[in-house]
Amino acid sequence: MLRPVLRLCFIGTVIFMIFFIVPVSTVSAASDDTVRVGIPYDISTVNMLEIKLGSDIPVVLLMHQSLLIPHPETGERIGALAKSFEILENGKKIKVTLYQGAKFHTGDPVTAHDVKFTYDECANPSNGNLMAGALDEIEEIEVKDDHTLIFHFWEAYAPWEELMWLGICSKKYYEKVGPEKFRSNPVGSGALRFVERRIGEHVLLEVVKGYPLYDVEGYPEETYNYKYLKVITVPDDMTRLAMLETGELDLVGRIQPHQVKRLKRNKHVTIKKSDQVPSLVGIAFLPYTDPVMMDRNLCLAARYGINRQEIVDKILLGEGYPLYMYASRAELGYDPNVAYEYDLEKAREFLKKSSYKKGTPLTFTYTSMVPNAPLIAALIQQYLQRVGFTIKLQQLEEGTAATYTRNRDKRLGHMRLYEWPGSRDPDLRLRLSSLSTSDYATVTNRPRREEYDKLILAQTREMDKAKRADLIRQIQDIMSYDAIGAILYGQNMIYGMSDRVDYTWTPKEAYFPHLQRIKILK
Amino acid sequence: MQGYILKRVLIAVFTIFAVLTVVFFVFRLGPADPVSVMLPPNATPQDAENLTKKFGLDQPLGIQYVNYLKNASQGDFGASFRFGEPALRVVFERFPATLKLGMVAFTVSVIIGLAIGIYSAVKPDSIVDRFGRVTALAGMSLPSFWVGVMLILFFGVTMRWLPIAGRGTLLHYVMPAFCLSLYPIALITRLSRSSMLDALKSDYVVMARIKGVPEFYVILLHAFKNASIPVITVIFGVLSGLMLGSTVVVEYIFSWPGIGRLVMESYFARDYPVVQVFVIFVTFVVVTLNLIVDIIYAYIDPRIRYQ
Repeated sequence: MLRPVLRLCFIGTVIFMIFFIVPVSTVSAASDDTVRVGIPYDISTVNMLEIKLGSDIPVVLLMHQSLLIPHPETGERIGALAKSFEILENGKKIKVTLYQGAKFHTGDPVTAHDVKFTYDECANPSNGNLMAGALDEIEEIEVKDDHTLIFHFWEAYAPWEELMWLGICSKKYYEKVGPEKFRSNPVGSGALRFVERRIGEHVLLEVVKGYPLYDVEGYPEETYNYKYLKVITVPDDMTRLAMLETGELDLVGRIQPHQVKRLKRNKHVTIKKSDQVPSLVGIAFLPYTDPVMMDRNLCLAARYGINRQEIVDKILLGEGYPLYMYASRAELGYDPNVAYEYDLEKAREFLKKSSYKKGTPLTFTYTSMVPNAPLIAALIQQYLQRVGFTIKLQQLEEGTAATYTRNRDKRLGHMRLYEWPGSRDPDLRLRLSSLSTSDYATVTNRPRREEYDKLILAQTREMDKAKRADLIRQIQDIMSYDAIGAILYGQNMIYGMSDRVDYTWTPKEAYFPHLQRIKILK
Repeated sequence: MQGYILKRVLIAVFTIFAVLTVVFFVFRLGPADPVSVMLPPNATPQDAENLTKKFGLDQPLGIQYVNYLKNASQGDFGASFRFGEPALRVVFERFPATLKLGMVAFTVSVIIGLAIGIYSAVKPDSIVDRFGRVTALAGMSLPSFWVGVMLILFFGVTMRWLPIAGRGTLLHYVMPAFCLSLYPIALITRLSRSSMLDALKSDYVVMARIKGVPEFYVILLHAFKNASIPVITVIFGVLSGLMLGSTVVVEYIFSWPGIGRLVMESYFARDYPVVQVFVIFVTFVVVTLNLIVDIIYAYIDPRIRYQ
C-alpha cells in the first residue's frame, strides 16, 4: 500500500520539475527591439529633482536633456538645450539662450521657466539632491524671456560648465501632477521616455520617435535602431558577467581586470577599454587620529615606499596607471611628469627622519567600496612594513566608514584607502577635501594653510583657462609638499558587450554616458 | 484549549513589541548614521542639517521612539530614506517575489524531503536510503552561494538551459528554488527518516500490524502521525526561513527582486524605515507560524495543552 503513495510523490516531483524545465526554448530569447544594460545597483530614483547618487545620473539623463552635454567622441562640453552661452561681467553672470525647437515628451516646449524651476528644485535642500551643495554657487536665475535666462553667481565661477548637466524637467507637468506622480512617472525632453520602473529589477525606457530634436553643431546624433532600453539591476558581479556571456545582457560596465580573461574566451562578447575616465585611488593620512600623521617625512616615506607600478601590474593586471597627484588622466591639471618613483632606501631614510616611533602600530582602514580593496590593503601593508612601519589592517563597512569620516572619528584609524568617483574638473574635489575649512578636509593645519586656501578659492574664480591651470599647478605643488597621504593609481574603465550591440564610452565620464547611442548590429 | 491559545497570543504580541523596540534602538545606537551615508560628497553642513530634519533624526531618541510607536500603531512606518516612498509599500512591493520563490522552494523541499525520508525509514539501506543520506549530507554542508554560482556556470553559461537571473518565466524559478531548497530537503529527509525509524519500531505499530491493518495505513496513519511532531516543527521553521532568512544570499546571486535583497541593500544604506518594516514583518510571520505550530501541537498531542 505504501508503493502507490511513494509513486505518487515521485510522479508529482517529476511533473513539478518538468513543469519548470520544459520551455527551454525561452532561455535568452532576447527581444530584438530591446537593449539590456546590466548595472550592479538599484537606481534610487528616476526623478531628476531628487537624484541622490552619481550612479542614477546615466539613467535619469536619458529621459532629460541638459543645457550642456559631453560630446560623445571627445568628451568636450557642447550645447544641447542651450543654443549659446555668453559670459558676462567676467564670469559673474552667464547668459543662456535656449534652442527653440526643444519639446518635452508631453509635447510642451522647453522654456527658460522650466530651466529655472529645475535648478531651483535641485538646489532645494528638502529634495536631498546630490547637486544641492554645488548649486549654492548660483545666487539667482533670472528669466529674461521664454528662451533666454541669466545665471547670476555670487562670484565668478570658473567650473560653471559642471553645473550645466542637470536634466531639465517640465514645470507645467510637475505642477499639474504634483510631486508624488512626478516621482513615479517623470517627464523630460531626452532621447528616451520613461515607461516603467520596478524597484530591484529594472527601469524600462522607450526611444522617443522623431528624436533628436536638437540641432547641435558637431554632435553626430544618429537614429536609434531599437525601441526599448532596459536597465537591469544585477548586484552580483559574477552573475552579471554570466548574463553577458549568455546574451541575457547586452552591455556591462566596470568590469574588473581579473574578470576579463574569462570573457575574452567567449567569442560573443566584445571587450572595450578607456583610460580617459576619472579614477583615483589613494591613501588619506588622518591627522586627527594621531598628530604623527602630520609629519611630512612620514608621508614621504610612505609615498616612496609604495611600488605603484607593481600594484598596477599585479592587481590591476596592467589595466591602470600609477598616479602621484590629486588629478587623474581625465581631469584638468593632470601632469604626467609628477612622480614619486618607488625607492625603498629613500623611504627608509625619510622614516628615520620622522617622529614615528618604531613598532608603533598604525591602523590602515579600507572598505569594499574600492575594488580589490583587501588585496591592495595587504600589499600596501607589506610595502610599508618593508620600510619600517608597523601596520594593522582594519576593514570597515562603508556606512560606518562614511560616518567616521564625517565625524572625524579616531576609530577610522591612521590611514584610509579611498576612491574618488571622479569628475572632469578638480575644483569640487579640491575645495571639499583640501580646503582647511571643509568638513571633509583631513588636513586642516598645513603650514601654508592660508596661502593654500587662497589658491584653491582663486582657481575657482579664475575664468582665464591658462591662468587657472597655473593656479592648479601651484596647488598640486603644495599638496606634494604637505603630508596629506599618497595617491596610488587610476584604473581604466573596462566594459563588455554582446556581439549584437556596439557602444563606445564617452571620454572623461565616470558613469555610462549616452546609453541611447547603443547600436544594434544584429 | 482557549486559555492555552490566549496565553500564546499574548506572548506573541509581547514578542513583536520587544523586537520592535530592540530594532529601533539597535539601529540608532549603531556606529553609522543614514545622513552621512546618503549625503553626496559636496554636501554642506546645512544640507546635512536639512536631511537630518527631513528624516526626523534631529529629535531626542525617546521622542523619536514615541513617535515611531504612535505612527506604527496606525500602520505608518515612515518613508524610505532611499526611495522616498512609504517603507511599507516598498517592502510589500517586493514581498510577492520572495513569497513565490519561497513557496516553490518549500513545496519542493517538503515533497522530496518527506518522500525520501519516509522511504529510507521503511526500506533502510536501500539505494534510495543511501542516496538520501549522501544528498542530505551534501545539502547540509554545501553553502548556497557556492551552489548558486555552480548552477549558474553549469546550467546557465555552459549548457544554456536555464536563464541566469531575474524573473519573468517559470524557468527563472528553477535554479534559485533548487538552491534555496537544498538545505531544507536535507533537513526534512534526515529528521523524517530518524523519526519514522523510531516510530516504526514502537509497540503501537507492531500492534497495528498484528491487527492486520494495511501497511499503507500503518505507515502513514500510525507511524507518521506520531513521527510528525518534530517534522512539523522543522517544516514550519523551514517555511519561515525560506521566506525570510535564507533568501538573502539566493536573491542576491540570482538577482531575484525579493525582500531579502532589499533588506540587505537597505541595511547598508541605513534605510531605517525599510529595515524596521522588514524586521517587524519577519517577527510577525515567525511568531504567527510558531503560534500555529503550538496550536497544532496541542491538537495532535493533548498532553501539551494539559501541561
